[in-house]
Amino acid sequence: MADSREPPPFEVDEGDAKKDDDDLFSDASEHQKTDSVGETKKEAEPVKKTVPVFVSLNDHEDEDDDLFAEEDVVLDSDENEEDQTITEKYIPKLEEPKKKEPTVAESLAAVPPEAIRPLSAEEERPKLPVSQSSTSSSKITSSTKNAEERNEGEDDQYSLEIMVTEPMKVGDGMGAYIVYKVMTKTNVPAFRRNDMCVPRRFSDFLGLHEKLSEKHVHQGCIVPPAPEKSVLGMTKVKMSKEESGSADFVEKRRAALERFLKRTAAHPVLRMDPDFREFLERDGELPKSTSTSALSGAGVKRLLSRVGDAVEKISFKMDENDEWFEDRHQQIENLDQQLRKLHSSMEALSQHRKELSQTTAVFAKSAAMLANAEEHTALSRALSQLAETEEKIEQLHKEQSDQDYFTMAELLKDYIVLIGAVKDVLHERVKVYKTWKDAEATLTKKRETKVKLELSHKTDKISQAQQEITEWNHKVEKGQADFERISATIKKEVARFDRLRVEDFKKSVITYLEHLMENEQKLIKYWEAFLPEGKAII
Amino acid sequence: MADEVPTYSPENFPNTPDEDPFENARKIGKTNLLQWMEITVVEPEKRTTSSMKMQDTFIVYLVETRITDNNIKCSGDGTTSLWRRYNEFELLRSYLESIYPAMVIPPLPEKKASYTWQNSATDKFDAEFIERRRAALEIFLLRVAAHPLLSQDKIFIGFLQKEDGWKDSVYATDFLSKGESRLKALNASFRLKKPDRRFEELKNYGNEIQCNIANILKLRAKLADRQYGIHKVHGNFGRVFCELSGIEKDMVDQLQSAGHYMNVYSEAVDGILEEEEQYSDQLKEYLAFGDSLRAVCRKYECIQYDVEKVEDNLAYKQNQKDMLGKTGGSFSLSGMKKAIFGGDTPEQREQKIKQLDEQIKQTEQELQQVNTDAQKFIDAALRDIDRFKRQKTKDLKEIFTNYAIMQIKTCKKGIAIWTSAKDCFAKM
Repeated sequence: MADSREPPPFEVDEGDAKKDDDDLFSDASEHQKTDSVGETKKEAEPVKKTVPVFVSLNDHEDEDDDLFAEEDVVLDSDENEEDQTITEKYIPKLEEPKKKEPTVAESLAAVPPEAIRPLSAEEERPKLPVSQSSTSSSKITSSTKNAEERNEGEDDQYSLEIMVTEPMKVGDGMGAYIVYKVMTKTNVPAFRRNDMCVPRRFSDFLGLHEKLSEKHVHQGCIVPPAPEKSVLGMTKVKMSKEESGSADFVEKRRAALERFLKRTAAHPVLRMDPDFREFLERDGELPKSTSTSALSGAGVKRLLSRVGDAVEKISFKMDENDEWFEDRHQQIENLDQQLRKLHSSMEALSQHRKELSQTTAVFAKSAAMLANAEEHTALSRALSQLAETEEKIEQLHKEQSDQDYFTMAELLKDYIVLIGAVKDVLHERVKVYKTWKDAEATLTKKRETKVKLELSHKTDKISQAQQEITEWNHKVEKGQADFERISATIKKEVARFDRLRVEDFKKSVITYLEHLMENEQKLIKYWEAFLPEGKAII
Repeated sequence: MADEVPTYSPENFPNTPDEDPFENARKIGKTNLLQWMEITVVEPEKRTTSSMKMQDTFIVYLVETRITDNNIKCSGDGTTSLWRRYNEFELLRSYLESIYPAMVIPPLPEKKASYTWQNSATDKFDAEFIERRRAALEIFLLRVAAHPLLSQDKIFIGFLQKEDGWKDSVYATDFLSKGESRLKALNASFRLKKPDRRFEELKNYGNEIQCNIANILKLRAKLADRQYGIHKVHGNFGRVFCELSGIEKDMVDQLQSAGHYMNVYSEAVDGILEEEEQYSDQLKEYLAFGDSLRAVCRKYECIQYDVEKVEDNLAYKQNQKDMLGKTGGSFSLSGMKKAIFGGDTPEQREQKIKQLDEQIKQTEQELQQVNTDAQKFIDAALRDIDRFKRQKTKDLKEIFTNYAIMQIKTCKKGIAIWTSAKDCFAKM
């Protein structure tokens, strides 16, 4: 996988590169010996273009082989704060530049394209590793585990495993709610502990999602969507006396919450967010995020802003000069449609199978009754065997239907919502564009006013007009910069989303098909067991 | 009574005694028709006749026979073929039912399609329905031909071989009058004092299998619905995948082949359900056999009722005689009558007693006759029922084994399809 990556472009412009670095971490794979799943995350933040400062900062076991050929990134979170949205940077692990190509290959292979190679002289070397990575098999083997992450453009030694378990009902009546245990296992140093277990309720998750969205959607990041509020489901839970009252609903919700956290953790930018971290590690309960409740002030505000957005979408047509976005937009629309169709088909399938299993159960009973009516013993026995076989089949069908639902349908639903998030992000871009163009228009107007003032010789107002012009000029420039930044981020995000999507789907579909085949095998076994009984009727 | 074979004038039958293959067959000891003759219901045809301003469209079936045993001499080449329509089959069956009440008469296919599911044929003129009916009619004829007694019936043979005037010959037998009325049967079933346990059990059995098989068929229809639904959903998948392949530039081939496999899967259901339909038809036949069994039981009950009536009559007459024989004695209505109206003169009494004696003798004879008849009936019926049971066991065994095999085949096919689909996806 590493070989498929392009050699990092050696950008000279630091400024831009920095911004592009937002969600990429330099990859420096840990040496195979350690065989760690995660890898050190390094921020190959270009410090200064010219001077290769070789500072080795190893926070892990030092091995001579750990290389990061020439770069050094003495980075500190503060330094990178500047105009980055990423609030955490990991101190890159550096080593003296050693020409141990194989290891370098590994580490550099994962270097993000925007990582600045301090010296042009060294610009050569990164290239080598990339090509050599294909030759170093040992590297490859260790990196297979992280192949996926590498695709994302990051190799991190940090693992972040999250599980949502043990839903428990707390309280009674309408005030009841469900508390989930969120367990995290990680070796990310930024976290205070390696193992955490905190209680969280649904509104906490929603609150997290809110905060993340506020911060990141403007930058163009695709924030994984949180599961929806479901009044009906929750009232059932609140009203039911025993735990098992609405076990299905709770289970679905739990799985959805887990997927949400996992996706957020997999996102290179979002996982660094302090709010996310706080969510995972702060003991005890989080302060109630009342703004997520449907009827609160914040909720109403949200609703209104959504309406406003919708109107905007219709009214403002952006003239798209980047055809990449045109294409993707179209593609996303189509994908959305198709996924919806798939999803409804999947639900229908699951429904059918459930009913199939129910009917088979009744069928088994009827066959048993028929067996009772027959006096001929072999026939009767065969019939009861038939009944038993059918019972087993019914079980099987039921399991299959559950599986259908949990694996495929939920996944599809997730992706449909994710696509919604993608569309949101695209829309953000349109908004930024609009702001930019508005600023330009205002600037032109101000200029005109100034010219008019000059013509009418109202000198006192001219200086003010001049000020305004400069101000708006800034705004225009900023708007343009914003726009370009968000466009670039979106491109990366969407590419990542694409990759993830294909992987996810492939995995799920294959698992699903394998289950199907297993079930068919079992069916065959059952029927083959019945066959000798049938033949034995004399 | 039950075993009487009606005789008809020879001119109805083309074959001269010498060349009559049936005679010949009997001579060489063939017990049923099927052993030396092949009967097929070959194909259906739609016919329209207009009569009295009304257009009557109906289906006729080609019935062919062929003599398979070379030892049997006959005129011509040994094959016959003629067209029959459904109501002629019905006529044949009603005839057989009334003439041979002790036998379990094989049932006909249903008049209208029942226990249908979403996609199955319901219309009388639907091609699938007609085809299934054709197969069922053939089975009916074969079953009758396999029966040692029924296959020798002249009307049945006429059905197979003589087209013209067959209907008239059937009506000429006046079989309708020989049948027992339903009302009498109902009456009998309530009044029976000593019903034979075997027939009671048989009646129960007939009822139960009818109930159960009806349930099973209903369920089967639902199951078929579900299966159909599942497979068609996969057809939707196929469509979506094909459309997706238009969107995803880099996975076009795989998506298309995946879509193709989904379509294959969804189309496979038609074949599966057609086969299942066959088994369901066979079950329906057994459902209808339940009816035949019950008919035999009904006839038995009527006969038994008759027997009991005669017995009662006899007992009554005996009683009367005894009463007359007694002089004076216990207090009774007749004693009262005697006291009030004066008793009979000795001569009158003598006469009455002689009359009664005669009646009693007559009744006793009647009783004997009825009893022998009843016994004959019971024997024949039980024998036939036994035969039916053996046949049934064999049939059901076939049905179940085939059904299981079919399921296995389906699963294997499913696995094949899924494996290929999985490969497609893995390549993405």
